Amino acid sequence: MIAIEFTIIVLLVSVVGGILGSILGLGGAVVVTPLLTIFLGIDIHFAIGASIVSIIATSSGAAAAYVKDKLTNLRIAMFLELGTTCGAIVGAGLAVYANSTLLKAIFGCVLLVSLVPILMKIGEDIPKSPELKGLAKRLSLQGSYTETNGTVVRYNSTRPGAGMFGMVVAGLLSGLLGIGSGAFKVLSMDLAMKLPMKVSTTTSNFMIGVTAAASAGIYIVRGDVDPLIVAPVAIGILIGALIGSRLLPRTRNPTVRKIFAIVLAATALEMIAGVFGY
Amino acid sequence: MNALISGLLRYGVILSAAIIAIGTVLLLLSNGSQDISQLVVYNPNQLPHGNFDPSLGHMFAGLVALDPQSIIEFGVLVLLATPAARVLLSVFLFTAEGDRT
Repeated sequence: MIAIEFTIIVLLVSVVGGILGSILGLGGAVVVTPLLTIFLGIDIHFAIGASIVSIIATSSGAAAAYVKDKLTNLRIAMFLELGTTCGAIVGAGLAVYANSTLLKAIFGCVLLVSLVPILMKIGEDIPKSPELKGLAKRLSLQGSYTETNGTVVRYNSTRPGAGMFGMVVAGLLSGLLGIGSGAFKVLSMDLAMKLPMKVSTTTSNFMIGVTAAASAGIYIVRGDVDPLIVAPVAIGILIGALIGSRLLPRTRNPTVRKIFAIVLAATALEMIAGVFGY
Repeated sequence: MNALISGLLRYGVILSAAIIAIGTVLLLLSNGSQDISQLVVYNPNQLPHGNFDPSLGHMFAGLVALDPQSIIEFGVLVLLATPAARVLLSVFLFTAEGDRT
């Protein structure tokens, strides 16, 4: 196909990727990577380079709105980022030794298994706020945000240690597989730290950009970031993130969780299918 | 503090998008009807893997010459700078607030 057709198709699909990614705290790569590799036959390395760019675009594109709306919890993000960055650096360093097929299979299975607790909480809006104690209290890992109908939601978090552990693992996976691992971050914040769903997704959204930026430089130098491919991805994702970040504050927590569950299942299956060469 | 970070991200992203858009339009004007299999080539045995040179020196030379691929690359670097800049800004703002936790 010719360049201009390619650009338009990738642009349009990236808009969808940006909308979904910004609502769910994932990088738009979830949608963009299969488009590039399966439908357009692009080499996987270029697809990974494009996915790194799309993660940063989703993150920065939406974060502008979420930080202003005070959905993103900056304290928690910064605390947890210590874990993801360390994990990502170690992961990138170990990438040469890693068997990425095995890792993808493990990651895919972990995502599938995590569906269970997500589905059990499927209707939950605001979690019963746990008491703030211990490390969470000392670091003030709490916050509040205002829903569009005016209700103020105050929340605490719990088990920051477990959340941090999840982040280190997420970082390792990012470095090893070249993904943003937003899904893992959202899961850690939702299940381990009991944050409200919209806080988990927007905080993850804020964090994935840093994780991806850490690996991006390496990919560019290696020539894995192709301008013709990443240009429509970046622009499409930014447009999508702009739309998604306007939609999210109006969306209720249970709805976000339902969409997340569907995309989580799709991502898990995609990972596992990738193991078998699809 | 939220407003500063939010503003930095928003303007960084708009700037990056504008630069990438300009580069893309220029690229399509010159190569739009070429088949992508000729434009997007992955060479596993050479570094860099693509058929373009991503080095900074080449990029700056390309910017001056209005080379579309260099312009796009520059826009992507601006995009990459946004999370890095906001981490630096956040660290600075947190410490300025006297928040040593």
